[in-house]
Amino acid sequence: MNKTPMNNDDWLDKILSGDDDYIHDDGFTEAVLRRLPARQRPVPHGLILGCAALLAVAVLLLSAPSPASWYDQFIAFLYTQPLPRLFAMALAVCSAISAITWWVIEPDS
Amino acid sequence: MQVADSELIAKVLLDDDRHAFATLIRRNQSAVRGLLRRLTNGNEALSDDLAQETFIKSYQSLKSFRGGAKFSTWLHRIAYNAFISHVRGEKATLDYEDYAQTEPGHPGEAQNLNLEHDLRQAMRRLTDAERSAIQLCCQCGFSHGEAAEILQQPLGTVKTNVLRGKEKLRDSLAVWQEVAYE
Repeated sequence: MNKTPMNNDDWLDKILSGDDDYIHDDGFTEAVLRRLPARQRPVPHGLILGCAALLAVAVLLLSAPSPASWYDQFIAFLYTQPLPRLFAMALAVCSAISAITWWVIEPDS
Repeated sequence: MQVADSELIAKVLLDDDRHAFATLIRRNQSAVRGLLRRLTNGNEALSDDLAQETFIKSYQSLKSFRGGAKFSTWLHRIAYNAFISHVRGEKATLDYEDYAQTEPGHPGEAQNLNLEHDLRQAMRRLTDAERSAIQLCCQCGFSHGEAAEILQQPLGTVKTNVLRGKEKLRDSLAVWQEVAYE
């Protein structure tokens, strides 16, 4: 029988490629899935909504007229503050809220 | 119809969809484990450990996959890095004699095992860079460009290493040339 002539490197490529058998999974995928880190906590929309509702109720209650409540005192205090300081306080409060929100939504990042 | 890798990746990233990730593993496990078996010279336990590490690492860093390369190429790069880290961590040079040899099951396998033995010896004479380039391009079927990406080396370096490696292997395995024709 005539042999088909091979190019210079064909014989070497044939030896190198060898038996390229498919490796069956045999539980490999399950083993990897078991070792994956725990799922991230789902975004607690309910928690955020609950906090917002509580905050709204608190503001409503506090804004109801009552003599010399700490809320009134706080408002009076704000009126006496210079504008730049009010801006700084507002910025600090916004930053704190942003930080808390970030932590709640993406606790693992 | 098969769902595209990019779609599965999006599901993993957006919804932490473990079923989608399982599909990605099943699609690529054979190739990744095959590469690692070649790199560890057939050590199945070690290569499977490294393969598991590869997939876990890929899951953790999936956000950094930009889609510029194929997902499988990106995965093989992680696998190759896992292997290199293991070798460096163990402070071991890969000793091709350390791994258990398979005994022939029937007389017909004896010749194959002799060839495997000689191939192993021949591969041992290559430099690490030549061996890796040969394994990726000639044994795993990656293009030079893909191998360059996996090895994080310039394309020209990979091509040179493949040429030099083949030249050495041609000399070492010349006695097997006739067998390859059969």
